[in-house]
This record gives sequence, structure tokens and C-alpha cells, in this order.
Amino acid sequence: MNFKKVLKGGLAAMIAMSMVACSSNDGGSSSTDDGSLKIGMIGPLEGDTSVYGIAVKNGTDMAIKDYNEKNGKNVKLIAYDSKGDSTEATNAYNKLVEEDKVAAIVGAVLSGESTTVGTASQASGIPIITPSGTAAAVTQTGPNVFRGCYTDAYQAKIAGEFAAEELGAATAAILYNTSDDYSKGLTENFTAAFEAKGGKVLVTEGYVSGDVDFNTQLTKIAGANADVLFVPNYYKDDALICKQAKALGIKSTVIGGDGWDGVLSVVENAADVEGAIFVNHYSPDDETVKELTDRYSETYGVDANAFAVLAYDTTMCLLQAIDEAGSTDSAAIVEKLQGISFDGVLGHMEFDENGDPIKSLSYITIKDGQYATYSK
Amino acid sequence: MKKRYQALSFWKKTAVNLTAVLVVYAAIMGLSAVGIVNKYYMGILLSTCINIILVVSLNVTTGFLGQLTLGHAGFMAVGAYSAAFLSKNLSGLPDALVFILALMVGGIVAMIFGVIVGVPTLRLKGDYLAIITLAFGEVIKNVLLNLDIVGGASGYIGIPRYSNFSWAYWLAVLTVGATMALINSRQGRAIISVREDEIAAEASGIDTKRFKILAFVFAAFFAGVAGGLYGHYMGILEPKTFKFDKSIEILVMVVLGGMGSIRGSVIAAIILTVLPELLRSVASLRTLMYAIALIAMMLFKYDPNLVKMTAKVKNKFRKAGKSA
Amino acid sequence: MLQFLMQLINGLNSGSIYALIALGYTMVYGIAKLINFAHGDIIMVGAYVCFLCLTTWKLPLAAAIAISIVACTLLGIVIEKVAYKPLRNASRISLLITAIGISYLLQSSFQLIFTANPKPFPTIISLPALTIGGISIAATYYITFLVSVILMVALHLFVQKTKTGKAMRAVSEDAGAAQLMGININKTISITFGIGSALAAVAGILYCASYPMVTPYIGSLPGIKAFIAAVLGGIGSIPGAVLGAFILGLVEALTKAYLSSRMSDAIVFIVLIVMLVFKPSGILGKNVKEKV
Repeated sequence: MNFKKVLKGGLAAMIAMSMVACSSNDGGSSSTDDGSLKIGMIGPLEGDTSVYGIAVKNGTDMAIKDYNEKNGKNVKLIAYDSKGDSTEATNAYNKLVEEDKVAAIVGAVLSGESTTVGTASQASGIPIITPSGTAAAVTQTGPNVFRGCYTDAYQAKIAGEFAAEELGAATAAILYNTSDDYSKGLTENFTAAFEAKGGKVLVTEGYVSGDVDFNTQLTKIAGANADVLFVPNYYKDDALICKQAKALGIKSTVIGGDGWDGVLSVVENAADVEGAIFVNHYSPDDETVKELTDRYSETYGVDANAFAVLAYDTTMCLLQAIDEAGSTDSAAIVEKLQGISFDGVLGHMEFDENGDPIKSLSYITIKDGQYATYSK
Repeated sequence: MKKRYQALSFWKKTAVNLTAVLVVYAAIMGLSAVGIVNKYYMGILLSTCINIILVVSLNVTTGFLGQLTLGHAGFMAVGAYSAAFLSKNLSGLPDALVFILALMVGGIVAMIFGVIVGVPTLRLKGDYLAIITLAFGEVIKNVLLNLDIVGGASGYIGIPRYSNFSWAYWLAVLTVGATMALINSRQGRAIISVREDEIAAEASGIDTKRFKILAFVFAAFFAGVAGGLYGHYMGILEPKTFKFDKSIEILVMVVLGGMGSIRGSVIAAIILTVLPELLRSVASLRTLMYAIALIAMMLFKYDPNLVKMTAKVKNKFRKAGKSA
Repeated sequence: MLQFLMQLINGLNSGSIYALIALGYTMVYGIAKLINFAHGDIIMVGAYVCFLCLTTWKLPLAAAIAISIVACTLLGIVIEKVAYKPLRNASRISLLITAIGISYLLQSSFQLIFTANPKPFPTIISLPALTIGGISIAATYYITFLVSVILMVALHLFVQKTKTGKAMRAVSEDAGAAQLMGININKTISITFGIGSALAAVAGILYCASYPMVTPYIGSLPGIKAFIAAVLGGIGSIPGAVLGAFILGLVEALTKAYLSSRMSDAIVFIVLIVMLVFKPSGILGKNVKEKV
């Protein structure tokens, strides 16, 4: 019975493998087959983080379409779902490299899976660029891994100094998502920067992903009466936090990171977030960005957010590097990326020796229910 | 052929099994060497082996002991994190040795948690046991989220990537072998007797408490080893991987393979690890199709009407085949 | 002191929502002996239907609520007939897995229909806040609390006094004997699912009134919390579900306020574990002796 079982198991595995081979044959041709270049994308396309993954996929898709139109080329996008899970991301990565023979990968979307993909890519050295993975570990995995967004450390430091110097705040309170490395990273770096400038963080409260009721934590924060309330989370939670904070009468100035982008699309009443200030990649007055986001809404039926715009610029930068390299050789593309000077929708971008971007940032505030560039 | 196999002595059977296992291994490695089985497939095979270990071990508590436990991911988590902790902090020894030590530590720590979970829950049964194991799993995950020494929410990074297909395959073989040995032993029969009728077993003089703990500890050990394998494959560990959904994922494989069937567990693990990869071409419909497939499989297996219907259809084919 | 009272009120608020959801869980468990993991997702369906009525079809609030309740009731009954009834005599685990399949089915299909982008839910409660002795209680708080309590009382009366209610109790006590006494099991179970789902719809709408954001995944966390509440209070007992829910809400709030907001989830689960170890049937549950 056991002999049969083992053989059956092996047979099942073989059959399964051949089925996988058959199903992926349509996408498995090498990149020289019809002369078209293939770019891979990995991110959560299903599940509760899929709103970010789909935004990145759409942004990448739009960039490739624009590039093809402008240059008369035929670059193809192959996007695989990771569900935000490291194992799925690794499988997706392997499939893109082994089966689909992509030249480069835009991915992943979340920090954890980006680090996994970066680690997995060390064997092949294929260029990887994540538009949204913010943890420091991501680009530390190797010289072929780049990122298009700020590191947590960088933007939180800026936010901390901004609060102390520009806003003249002496005290701060923080409400952050303890189960998300983005929020955690921002909180740690903000606290360090703010206190280095002489500020004092009075109270730090946490919640976990999925929570929607912050009244308990905010009641404590209201009692502390800090000058500034730092809310370094993604826009879904930020909208609810602000609503509840206002209801509790919290008067502190609310500041946040780039995860805030898109917050106006999820608030019922813009007054809830009036006066909040956050760090972002682009200024809302920027005509080129506006044109892009309008086109995005038309094409994909949903509003654009920072993930989509970042993915667009990151992909354009990648395509420029591939152009400059003149081939699909991984080492050549990586070299070009390292030295690239890219001007995109989000302004000028270069990479430092870690693969982290050097680019400008803006301070956005919500004024009269609209995004506006912050001014004193 | 089956009858001839059954008639073999125990040692001859073991020899046949081992040969079969070796043949499969050699075949896969051979195909990999010539490039037919590339890294993508090897990755899937590795994941499959890890899942086989998880499913077979869960079957010990759920299928053989008959107690629904929803916290298997918790054991996997503590095993993964302790194994990673050891291999990151141990230096000066050859890689293979470090890996073996790490996996053992992972298994042992998971075993300790098996005792921690098993002892207070001895009196509980059925749904209450399920709920309390769910709670334990969640507590473990939440504590890991807040434990900064292993990275917390930022993840535990920089784990040396020792895992490869060979390790996973042979550990899976070991798990299956150990489980078969347990089930066919005296202890195994005692465990099964608890499932069949606990009061009668107790009345017959079997120390049901001891065997419940044994089952828990056995299952936890291998879950811990699987966790260690997983951590050293990914290179990074995040607490969110080990949430309730993961326990459910493994439980689904156990149920579909058949509770108390080791062979079923292996086959279910293979099919359900490969299935999501097969469905990649319909990315946005994957979960939907998985859900429909799951519901359909359960209905076809357990709905008396559908079972009758499928039996009728099968009979028709058999008759048609005979008369043709 | 003021802070303490405010935190208590916060706890009661989350407790009210858990209570509405827990009622559905406990009823279905008591009668069909099924942990309906898809229950949390019915909340999500209720929220989306109401959202659709209010924004796309621009219906008045009363109509939107009514349609949402009807839709969820029908959905609950259909799910029971299609997926749970055929497996009624199968093992508990297979029912559990099927329920999980239904949960994934609901989540993935709603993501396909509505996308994963969070949708802002229109404000439906615009009453003024109540101020008692320096504490301001938002309208959403007292409305949610009132609705929960009224529905709990109504349900309790229904189960105790009406014929259908008595039938439900009989089936939960001993389905075989109930059938022998002439009670239509199928109808009773369908009604139970229907009522549970209707309550879930109300819970979904109130949930979005307080936390105005809808995604296909809003049901899972409250679902699990409500399930814990039902178990704490004694699964199968209606007053128990409500008691468990309020205790859970309070424990959560006070833990976050005075112990650690980071560890509150872990502490809540530990409370559950302690309760189950010492009194597995829950606070108001009955201790069923096992007979040989």
C-alpha cells in the first residue's frame, strides 16, 4: 500500500508539473521570440492589500503602454499575484525568471515580499525595482535591487524635523499600526529625529491592521494634549483616525507620511482631514501629475493613488535604463540604473550606492477639502 | 500486485518503500540536472514538501486523535523563529550542521509549546478545543509581532538560506515514515482509541491524557521543523504569515485528503500546493475558483445525494467499459 | 476618572456591535451546531447593499436598510440550503471547511464586483451628541447601543414566547426528539439562518455608520471577535452572546487604555483561553455532562 502511495505521490507530482508546464507555455517564450521585451510585476492582486498591488500593476501597465506608444515598441507586462505572501512572491519570481524570461521586475509591493524577492534574485542578478517597499532591508539584499520610494528612515526624519522646526512643535503624540513595518519604521525614525531636535513624544499608541476603532487610544492621546499628532499609516486607517480624533476634540496638528496619499478618496466628509499635513512625492498643483491621474481614472475606472503614480515613474525609469543599456543583460541594466539620471512625472531621480532614490519631496496639506502644497 | 505487496514481510515492505522513495528522488534530481525541471518547479516542489510535513503532522492530532485543532500555524511559527534565531547566532560550524541543529531546536521549541497548549486543554473537547487552539495560535502571532528582538512587524531578516529541495524531500519522507511508525505502534493505537471512544478507552485502562499530549507533541515537533525549513527558504520571517488563515489552509488539506489517511494527506498537500500555481493565468479569479472548488469538493465528498449520483455515473462508465 | 468613564463608554460601543454579530453566531451554533465562519462576511454584504442603495440608486435611508436586511436574509437562507443542508449529517469539520469556503467565496466575489478600493460610506446618523456630566457621547454610540439592546430583547422574547422560537429551542436541545414531535427541522433551521443574517445586515450598517469605510474584508475581524464573544458568554445562549460581547468590548478598551495598546489582541485571547480552561461552557453556558 505504501509503495503504491509513494509512487502515486510521485506520479501526481509529475503530472502536476507537466500541467503547470502546459499552462505556462503561452507566456513562456523567451524575450527574443517576437522581439518583444518582457517586464515582470509581483504584488498582491487579491486579498486585503490588493488595493495597493492593483494600483502598482495599473501604474506599471500605463507606463509600459505610454512607452510603447511613444517609441513604437512592444514591451509586454507579465504580472503575477503574490497575495502579499512571501512564498507566493518567491514562486512568482521564479516563474517570471525561469519560464517567462523577463528582463527586469517591478516588485514587490509590500516590504516583506520585496525583501524576499530581493534575496531570491541574488542568484540571477536580474534588476529588481520596487516602487513601494519602504523597509531598509529591501535594497540591502543586493546591488541589483532598487527602490522608487523613500525609505521609512528618510521621510520620517524629514517629518520629525519638519514638526520641530517648521511647525515649532514641542510635544507630539503618535498612533501607529504595530503590525505594519511601514508604520513601525516611520514611528521609530520620527521619534528619533523629533527628539534629536529637542521635541518630546508624550504618548505612543498602537493598533493592528483591521482595527477600525481607535477611540480608546485617541482618548488617551486627547488627554496628553500634544502639539502634533503623528499618524504614519496608510490612508484607509488615517481617514478613520482623523474622523474619530476630531470627534474627540483633539486639536493637535496632524502630520503623516506618504501613505496618506489618496486619503480624500476614502473620506465621506473632507472636513475630517482638514488641516492635516503629510510628506509626499509630488505636489498636487503639478500639472503633469494631474494629467496622469486623470488619465488613470479614465483608463482603470478607479482613482489613482501614490502607489500607482510611483509605479508609473519607477517603470519609466527602468525602461530608460534598459534603453540606455541597449540589451536585456542583467548586469548592463543594473549598471545603467546605478548611474541613471531620470526625469519623470515626480521630478528628478537618481540612486545612491544602496539603490535608494535621491529625489525631492513635497509637503501636502488638506485645505478646503482639496490637496494643496503646504505653505506657512 | 497489491496482494503480493501485502503479503511481504515488514522488512521487505520497508525496502520496497525506500526504493520507491529513492526512485522518485533520483528522477526529480535528474530532471533538474538536465534542466527540464527548472528553479520554478523546484521551488514548488520544495513548498510541497514543507506542506506535506505540515499536513501529515496535523493529521496526527486532527485525523488520528480526532481533535480539531486550529493553531497549527502557531507551532510552525515558533519552530521557524527559534530555528532562525539559532542559525543567525551560531557561528563557526559548517552550514549543514548549523541547519540540522536549527531544525532540531525549532522542533523542540515547538514541542514545548505543544505541551503548553496540550496540558491545560486536556479536558476540552470538540469545538472548545478548536477555539482554544485558535486562540493560542493568535496569541503566538501577536506576541511575535511585538517581540522586537526577532524583528516584530519589520520581520526577521537575514536568515541564511540553507533549505533546498533535497533537505525538504528527505525531511518529508522522515515525517511520513515517523508518522506511519507512530500510528502502527502501540502508542498509535492508543491515540486512535481516544478518537474512537474516549470514555471506553479510559475505562480500558489507557491513560488518555498521556496519549493526547503525545499526539500534540508529535504534531508540534514536525510543524516546528517545517517552520524551520520555511524560514531558511524565504530568508525572512514575518508574523503575519502565521495567522489563522495558514492553520485553515493546512486543515483544508487534511480534510480533503481524508482524516486519518497519511496517503491522502500527501496527495492533498501536493494537489493543493500546485493548484494555485496552475491557476496563475486567471489571477484575479484565483481565490474565487479555489473557494468554489473547495465547496464543490466538500459537497461531492459528503453530500449523500451527490455521492449517490457520482456512484451512478461511475457505474455507467464501468459498465460501458466492460461491454465495449 | 473622566477618562476612565470615557474608556468604559468606548468599550460598550464596540461591545454593541460585537453583540449584534455574536447573536447570529450563537443562534446558528445552538441550532445547527455549526461555527458559521461566513457570518462575518454577511456583515460586509449588508454594508455593500446599503451603500449601493444610498449612493448608486439614491434611495432613502429606510428603504436602503430594508433592502439590505432582506438581501442578507435571503442570502443566509440560500447559503444554508445550498451548502450546509446537504452536509448536515457529515462531520463537523467538513461543515467548518465549507463555511470557510463560503467566506472566501463572498470576499473574492465582492472584490471582483466592487474592487478592493475602500468606499466611503455616506453619513447616515446626523443626530447631535449627548452630553452627560462633561462626557460627550456621539450619536453613533447611543444609537448602536440602543439598537443592539432592543434587538437582543426582541430576539429573546421571540425565542421564549413564540411558537417558532420554541421550535428553535427544541431543535437546539435535541433535534431528533424535536422532529419526532412534529417540528419541521428544515424550516426551523432556515428561519434561524435568516434571522441571524438579518441581524448581521443591521450590524453591517451600524458598523459603517461608526466606521464609514467599506471594503470586501471588513467582515473578517469583527466576525472573529464576535465569535470569541459568543464563546465567552456561552455559545448557544442568547443573553450569553450579548454579555460576552460587552465584556469583550470592555476588556479590549481597558487593556488598550491602561495596559498596552500593542498587546491588547494577545491579552483578549489569553482571557479567552483562561475562561475556556476553567469554564469551557462560557459564563452563561450550560455544563453538559457527557453520558456513556
